[in-house]
Parts: sequence; structure tokens; C-alpha cells
Amino acid sequence: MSGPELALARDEAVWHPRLRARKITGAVFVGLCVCSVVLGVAMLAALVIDVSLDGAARLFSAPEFSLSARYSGYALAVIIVLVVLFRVLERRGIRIDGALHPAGLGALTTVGLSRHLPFALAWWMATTIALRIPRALGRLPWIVLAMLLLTWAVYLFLDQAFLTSFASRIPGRAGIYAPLIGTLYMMVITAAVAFPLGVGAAIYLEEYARQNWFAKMIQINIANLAGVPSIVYGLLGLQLFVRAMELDRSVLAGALTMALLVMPIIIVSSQEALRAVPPSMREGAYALGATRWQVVWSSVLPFAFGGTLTGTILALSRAIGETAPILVIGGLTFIAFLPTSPTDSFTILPIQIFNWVSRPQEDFQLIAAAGIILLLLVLLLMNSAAIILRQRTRVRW
Amino acid sequence: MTIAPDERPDLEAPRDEASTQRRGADLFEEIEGARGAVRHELDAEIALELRDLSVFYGHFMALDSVSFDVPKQEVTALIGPSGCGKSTLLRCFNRMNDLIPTARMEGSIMFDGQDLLGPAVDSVGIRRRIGMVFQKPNPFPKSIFANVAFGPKINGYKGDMPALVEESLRRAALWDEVKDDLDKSALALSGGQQQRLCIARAIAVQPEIILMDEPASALDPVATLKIEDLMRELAEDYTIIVVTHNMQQAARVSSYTAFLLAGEERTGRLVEFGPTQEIFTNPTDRRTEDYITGRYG
Ligand SMILES: Nc1ncnc2c1ncn2[C@@H]1O[C@H](COP(=O)(O)OP(=O)(O)OP(=O)(O)O)[C@@H](O)[C@H]1O
Ligand SMILES: [Mg+2]
Repeated sequence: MSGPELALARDEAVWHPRLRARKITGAVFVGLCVCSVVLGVAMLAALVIDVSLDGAARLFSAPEFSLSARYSGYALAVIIVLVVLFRVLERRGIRIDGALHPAGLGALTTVGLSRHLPFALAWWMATTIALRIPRALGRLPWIVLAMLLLTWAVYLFLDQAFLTSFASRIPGRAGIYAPLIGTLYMMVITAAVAFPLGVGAAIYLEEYARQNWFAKMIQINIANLAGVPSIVYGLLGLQLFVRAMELDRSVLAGALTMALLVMPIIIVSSQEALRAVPPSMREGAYALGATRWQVVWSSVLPFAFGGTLTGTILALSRAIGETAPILVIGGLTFIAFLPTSPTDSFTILPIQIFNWVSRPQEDFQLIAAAGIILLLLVLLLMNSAAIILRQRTRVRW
Repeated sequence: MTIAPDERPDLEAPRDEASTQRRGADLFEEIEGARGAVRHELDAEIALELRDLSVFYGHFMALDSVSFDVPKQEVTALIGPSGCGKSTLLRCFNRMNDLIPTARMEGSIMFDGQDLLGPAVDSVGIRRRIGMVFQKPNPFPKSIFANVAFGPKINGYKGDMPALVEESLRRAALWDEVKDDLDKSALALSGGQQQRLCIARAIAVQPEIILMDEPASALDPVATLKIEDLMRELAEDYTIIVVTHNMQQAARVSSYTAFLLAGEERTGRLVEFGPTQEIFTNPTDRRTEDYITGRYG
């Protein structure tokens, strides 16, 4: 046991505590988390106004509002760019990883060149997830790979025409291509919007907010939001996104509506996941000189991440079967093209199934049944992903 | 060691003055590892200077005007019955009390020429220089390596990380046991190993002072002795302040001892501070004697 070796580490030149920078980073992230909560509260306010006041439509459709909505859209874009920028900065500027990992970007561009944006996005997400979390999740990359292979195998043996044909008046030619892609497309955007906002709000409420009456009120209301009938969200989406933001009956409008629908569930389940991390983890990190954000980011979130992800997947799998909100905001029932941009109109699986079921011809009933099986398959896939994730990321304290 | 760490003096001991005094002295003599250094006043360098330190939780006064000097590169023990404010006092030194919304501190703790409680002091920066080891081992559910590297990483350590991790684990007397599976989860270690890992984790950020809150109370006697040896070794380079309920442990590892006691209103006060040998053999306060010889709860 000797002292001299430690001189190497005691020399102050090798330490760069950068207290200020760390605090600023923390402040920015907290700002983002607060934004999430504000959004949650704004959503609540909008919901109340929308449901209780008949004049909501006119209120929100005023020209000035749509202008400000556009600007808030730009603001959102800037925030997203900032998040990415700071994430990169925090990692000392050179090492770029996460969603911007070169391999992930490579996958995105390769598949993106095939002009199948939804597939490109799905691929990109799968690749980045596989690349980013292997250490924490053990064999997850292999599971992702196996799932992709399995999907591929099923795809080969299926009647491909059913999967790759558009809707048709002739039962033999009718396929489920457009609603399948529409559903995937919508869900990807929904997840991209709802996950960060939901987790951000949960972080703020759980780790930062003082436990006063205001926090409690927000808390109770968010829990209540999770129980609001989905058609109410449809009405809100119709006013807010379709009319006021002039998004029309687009994928984006649908995705944002669904994001509102799932966000409370994500917030509540993420809060539970955060609460499950014992306080001694936080104390341990604080005692080593971590800033508040560092404590949250590196010694709370990683251990709650599995829980938040599981909650998100379960929330999304609820949303995938929701028909009412999309019907209200005007998802089409008969479509002979693919949505290629977020502003295109679209349809989703349950609406298409509903459409087929309501037809008199018997052949369409069969097709509806096939569609239902497909929907169930997708659900099964998502739920098993959630279960696997929960198993893999469970920490026995 | 001839004495099991959890062996306590007989509670039914006779109460006359002389025998009490002798028992305290015997206790001290009996303990092999006890430090012999007799210091009547603090000729050592001073690491922390407490002046009229009071702590409140809301309206409740947990500590009242505590003043003493913590010597540099020595082990100082905080002893006293449960609830007398030992943990509260310890948590003042690295401002962990800041995390409790109702906690409020008054007075001053001078450290390296600045008042730890002053508004200008940054608690985050302070916690790197004054580390802490908790009662219950709390390793992160990560690899052993990642646990030790955690502190240096968040504090922007630019040097050779594997070397620092190895050195910290060596100093915590854990290296030989874990050197082949640094990638293993820290949760797979035994309780004693986990606690030494937590010590290695605290050492890795190169603190000047290490605070330990009953670091061995969750461990078996063998693991306890290991931690005690470790504390004595670390005291060559670090200032160590340790809370303990175990008199033998205090006598074995510390060179100075502070005895705290809470009165009727549960407010903790410093009864006596001095070289451990004196506190144990020749205490000036009757209550100290009573506590050391086992007359208090
Ligand atoms: N967070 C808190 N809020 C309010 N009161 C507290 C808080 N923490 C401790 N106290 C009170 O402060 C007093 C001192 O507590 P402290 O934990 O410092 O005692 P201790 O000497 O460490 O006891 P033990 O030996 O049992 O660990 C106790 O009366 C306790 O009830
Ligand atoms: Mg205590």
C-alpha cells in the first residue's frame, strides 16, 4: 500500500471538473423536461377547453393562432436540434453516438435511398437500438436481429399479395399494404414524439418538482388523463392539429393525436420506473460530486430505462388498436397509395378492418379476419418485446 | 484480534467510580490495534474547523453549537447513542444535508480557508474533495470497473482510467479479489466486498477527506476487521471521519473521538472531544464514561 502512485491522479492537471459547463448542460436538460411538463399541462388545458367550451373550434382556428402554431413548430425543431447538439457536446464533441451513430445513419441512408421512408425509419431505429444498448441489455441485439429474420421468414411464406396490395373493390385483389404502412409510419412518429416528452415530464415530476400542492395537482391530472376515452383525444386532435395547425388529415396529425393519447400512460409508467430506483443510488452519485442532472442522467435513468421503455411499448400497443381518434380526425378508409411524407393522408389497420367488415360480400369478411390476425401479430410482437425488455433490464437491488 | 468487534462490556457492571474508570482503560488496553499516540492537544494539522455548528430540520434543532477541530490525516470517530445527530453532523461536511429540503445549517465549518456552509461554496465541487461511504453498501448495478470509474468520469478525469481504477481498488484492498472480473456486475460481490468497492469508488475521485457512516455495521466480523485495517491504512493519506456504534471499533481505528449526546428535547450536543486514548481512559465528563462503559442505550 503506497502513496506515491496516487500522485498521478492527485495532480490537478488531469482533472477537468468543468463545474459551470456541467451545470449549464443540466439546466438545458431540465429546461427540456420542464417543456414536457408544460406541454402536458397545456394539453390538459386544451382538453378541458375543447370538451367543455363549444367555441373551442373558433378560438383555436383564429388566423393568429395558426401563425403562432407554425412558429411553435419551428421552435420545436430548434429544440430537437439543440437536444442533439448538447448530447453530442456533453460527450466531448468528438464521439458521436446514439441515434447519430454512423452505422445507424448508414442504415438510414441506404434504406432511405429505396424511398421507403417508414421502412428506413424502422430500420434506423432497430439498428440504433441494437447498437446503443447492448451492454445494458445483454443479448438484445440478437433478439432484434432474430425478430427481423422471423419477420422476414413469415413474410416469405405469407401470401405476399395480401401484404403488398392496396385496397380494392374486388376481394381477390384487396390487400392491406396501405394501412399496414400507415400504422407503422404513424406509430414511429408517435413514439418519437411521445417517448422523449413523456420521459422528460416524468423526470421533471419525479426528480425535480417540489412536492407541493401544484405538483400534486398536475400529478393527479396526468393520472386522470390516462383514463380519458380515446374519442375525446380524437376531438382534441381534430381541433388542434387538423384545423388549427392545418395539418389536415395527415399522418402527422394522426401521430400527434396518438402521442397525446399515450403520453399520460408513458409519464405514469416512467415515474414508477424512476421511483423504483432506490434513493441510495442518487446519494451515492451525489457524494461523488455529480451535478443534479448527472445524477439523473447517469445513475437514475440507466436503471429506470428498461421500465420506461417497457411502459412506452405497452402504451404504443394500446394505441395501435385505437380506432376512434383516427376516425374522428379523418383517416381514410379507402386508399390506393402509400403515405410518403408526414403530411400525406393515410389509413390504419383497425379502420381498414372496420371498412371490410362493414361490406356485404363474404370474401371481404375473410379478408377482415386476415387483417385482424395481422393486427394481433403486430400486438403480440410488441408485447413480447416489452416482456423481454423487462426481463433483460430488471435489476435486483 | 482477541476481541470480537460486537462484544460489549457487561451492562450489569458495578457502578462505583473507580471501577468504571478502570473498565474504560482496560477496554482500551485490551485492544491490540489501538493507536498508542497520546496527544493532549491538537498538534496535528487541522482539516476541518467546526464553530458553533447547529443543524435544524424545519423547527427541530438536531444539533446545537458543535465546535471542535478535525485533525488532518487521522481517523476521527463520532460516537454517541442512536439519534444524537452523528449522521446529521457527518452529512454537514459534504453538504449532503442540502438534499433534504427542510434541513438548515448555522455556524461555520472551515475547510481549506473557506467556510463550507458559506453561500459561495459550491456543494458539487466540495463533494469531490470530501467523499462519503454509506452505512449500507450502495454500488451501482454496473460492472466493478464502471463503479470505480463513475466518479472520475463525471468529474472530467483526463488521465489513465484503467490505472486509476486499479490503484483505487488496490488501496481499497479489493484488487486481488476482483482483478480478473472487472466486467462482472458489482451486485455479484459479497457485502464486505461491495463496501470496499464503495470505498474504492470514493477514493477514485481523490478526495482529501472521507466520511464513513457506520461503514461496517452491515458486515460480519471478518469483513469488519478488513474495513478497519483499511481505514487505518487510508489515514496515512486521507482524513477520515467515521461514525460508529462500536466502542471497540472506535478504540481500534481512531486517534481522536468526539462524543455526542442528545438531551430530553432530542437536540444533540458535543459532550467531549479529544484523543481517543484520553476519551477512553480518562474522560473529563461523567456521561462519556457511562456511555463508553455501556451505561447508555
Ligand atoms: N430528514 C430528517 N428530517 C427530520 N428529522 C431528521 C431527519 N434526519 C434525522 N432527523 C432527526 O435528527 C436527529 C438526529 O438524527 P441522526 O440520523 O443524525 O442520528 P444518528 O446519531 O445518526 O443516529 P443513528 O445512530 O441511529 O444513526 C434524530 O432525532 C432524527 O429524528
Ligand atoms: Mg446515523
